Formats: sequence, structure tokens, C-alpha cells
Amino acid sequence: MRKILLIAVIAAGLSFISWRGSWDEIRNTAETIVSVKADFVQSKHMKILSRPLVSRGTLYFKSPQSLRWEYTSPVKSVLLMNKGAVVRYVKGSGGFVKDASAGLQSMQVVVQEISRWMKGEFNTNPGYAAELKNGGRILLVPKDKSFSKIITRIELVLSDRPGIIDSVKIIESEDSYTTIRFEKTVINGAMNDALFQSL
Amino acid sequence: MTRYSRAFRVIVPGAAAILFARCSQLPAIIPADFSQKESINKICASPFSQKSWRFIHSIEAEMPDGSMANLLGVTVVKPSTRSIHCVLMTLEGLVVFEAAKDNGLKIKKALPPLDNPHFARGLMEDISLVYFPPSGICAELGSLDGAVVCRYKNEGALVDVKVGPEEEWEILSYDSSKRLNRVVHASDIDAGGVPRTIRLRAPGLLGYTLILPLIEKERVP
Repeated sequence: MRKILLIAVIAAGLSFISWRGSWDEIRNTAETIVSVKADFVQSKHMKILSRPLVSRGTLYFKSPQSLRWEYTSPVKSVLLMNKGAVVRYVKGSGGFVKDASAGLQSMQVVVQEISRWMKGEFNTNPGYAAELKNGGRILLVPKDKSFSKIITRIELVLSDRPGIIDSVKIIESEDSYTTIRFEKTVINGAMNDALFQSL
Repeated sequence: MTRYSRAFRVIVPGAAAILFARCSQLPAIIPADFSQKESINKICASPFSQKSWRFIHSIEAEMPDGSMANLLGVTVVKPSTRSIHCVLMTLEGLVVFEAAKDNGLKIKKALPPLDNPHFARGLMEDISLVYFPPSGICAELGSLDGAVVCRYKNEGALVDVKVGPEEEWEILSYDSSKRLNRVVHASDIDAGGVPRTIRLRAPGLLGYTLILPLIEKERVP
């Protein structure tokens, strides 16, 4: 009996880990995901800083392409992507105000990529050379030289839990990079469309 | 009674105002009594730390077209050498601008639309205005609008440093035509003399306003 239980546990563990063994497995798993909610901790590392600059927030994603990237500290802001349109609101001295920097090229790219990753489409952007490594690690390298001046490479780590990203590291240079660690991820929970339409 | 309120109480009221014949925006300073000049000089120096700092600010920028942009700014200032190292990044941590000024301006990174060379120079001038004592000589000192004020002259340009009774301070910069070109307002000053909020306004058609709430401060060697 003990042997059967042990085999069952190992099999379950292997099935979890095996979801990230190939691009097809990743995509097939992602197709089962309708929504994602996760808290995140973002740490900016740069030589000018004596310690990482930490920001916190919550990510909401609803398939196929709705995204809400909400910062709660140190600056409150909400970035909404819905039906291809991206808008950001930032809380300032006069309350929440629409922010023009959401239109920055670098921002548009990051937001589009996050949406792709949520759907398991890590290797579908022709702008990146994508490599799947052992242990659920994914390396994305921009092919466009002009874009590689903004981002040198992106490293993602997939969780043992199917469909979940553990962390992302966006590297601008060896001296400047941002890590985002996701926590308390909830998959396929109920999610109102209004979350992606307004504050 | 703080040293600030003491200074305000003894500044000679009703002194003759200095009138300017030419058309300008330069306000008239009520000259201080000679006996108060030393204490007023100290008050005017108080907004400027002699120590080196690293500041992290949130930056709310109101652009000439009325649109708003928000960034994070990291600034290291070293008053002893008047050197500056400055980084601007998006809330997502993407660096859009990095430059250093230390016997010359070096731009390390500048993404559009911040890749205009005038932007880098203007930004460094703004940072110098906020954190370093004005260059030039103190040509006048006294009172203005209820605040202690010192007026510095440097090659035709003028800078007024005004310190109010609540320890809030303002820096007003005038060009050689005596036109106001920058207003810096610092408020909510902490126990260490660091403002928790700085507001910088560049008047005019291509003007802009920056509101900088402080996120973090740290002394640097």
C-alpha cells in the first residue's frame, strides 16, 4: 500500500514538473488558464542604488488579452490593457491622473510581453530568440539591436505548479536589472471585466 | 522661539523699497538692517546641505501640452564638488535616462523623448538649482513677501533664495533679462532639513511643472 502511495506522489510531482519540459507542454497548459491573479514584488538593482528599490503590487490577467498591472507602493498606479489599448493612471498630488508615459516604446513592449507570457507564448514573438532551459528557465534575447539597447535579455523561471511564473528578470545591462517575483498566485479565479476597464 | 522667527521679528520693517526702472518681473527686496545680515545669510544657506545625499523621488511631470508623465528619479548630489548623478526610470524599473555631471556632462543613457541634449543640460541645471547654493555673490538681502530673502548675482542672472517663517523655502531663478525662468518650492521639511515635497515650475509657453514627493533619502560618503 505504501509503495502504491509513493508511486502516486512521485507521478503527481513529475506531472507538475513536466508541464514546462517543452514549448508545446507550456502552451497546452496555458490554454487551460483563463485568469491569473498574483501579488508581485519588484526589485530594481542599479549601481547608483545602495540597495534595491522595491515596489509592490498585484497582477490580474484574463484571457485572451486583458491585463491589469497595479502598483500599491511606493507609487500607486494602475496600468490597464484591454482590447489592445494600453492606458495608465498614477496617483499623484491631485488623485489618479492619466499618465503619458504608458506610451513610451519600452513600456508598450513590456506590457505586450507580459500578456503573451500569461498565455504561455514565450517563443512566439519574432523579436526575441527564445530558449527553454532545464529547470523551467526561459531566456529571451531581443533580436533587434536597437531594442537590445533598452533590454539586453529577459530571464523567466516557471513554477513547479502548472501555468505559473515564479519570477522574471529584465536585464538592461549587467549593472541594471529588475526582478519581479510573483506570490500568492491564483489561477482561474472569478474576475470581473470591469477590472480591466477602469480604476 | 526658533532662529527663523527671531530673524523675522527683527528685520527692519518699512525700509524703502528698491525700485527698478526697467520693465521686469523682479520683485523689490526690503533691505535688512546691517546687524541682521549675518543671521540672514545663515538662513539663506539653510536649504542647502553641505553633505552628500542619495534621494529617490516620485516625479509627476506636467508637460507643456498639459499631459502628465510619472517616473521615478534617483539623484546623488555631492555639494563639495557640485557633482550630480541622476537616473530616471519608469515605474516598472526601465531606465529611460542616466547622466552624470562632474566637471562636464556625461550622458550614459537617454531614450526618446529624453534624448534631446537640451533636456540633459536643463535637468542638471534644475537639480543644481534645488540642491546647491547659488553661484555668484549675494548682492542683496532682506525680506520679501514675509520671507527672509537673499539675492545672488552671477553674470547677469539672478537667484533669489527665500525662506519662510514655517521653514518652507523657495528658489526663484531669473535670466539676464530679469525674466523668471524657474521657481522651486520646498515644503514639509523633515527634522534633517530635507523637504518631503519639492515643486519645480518652469514658466512660459514651453513650461512644465514637476512635483517630487520624496520616497527615500540616504547620506552617501
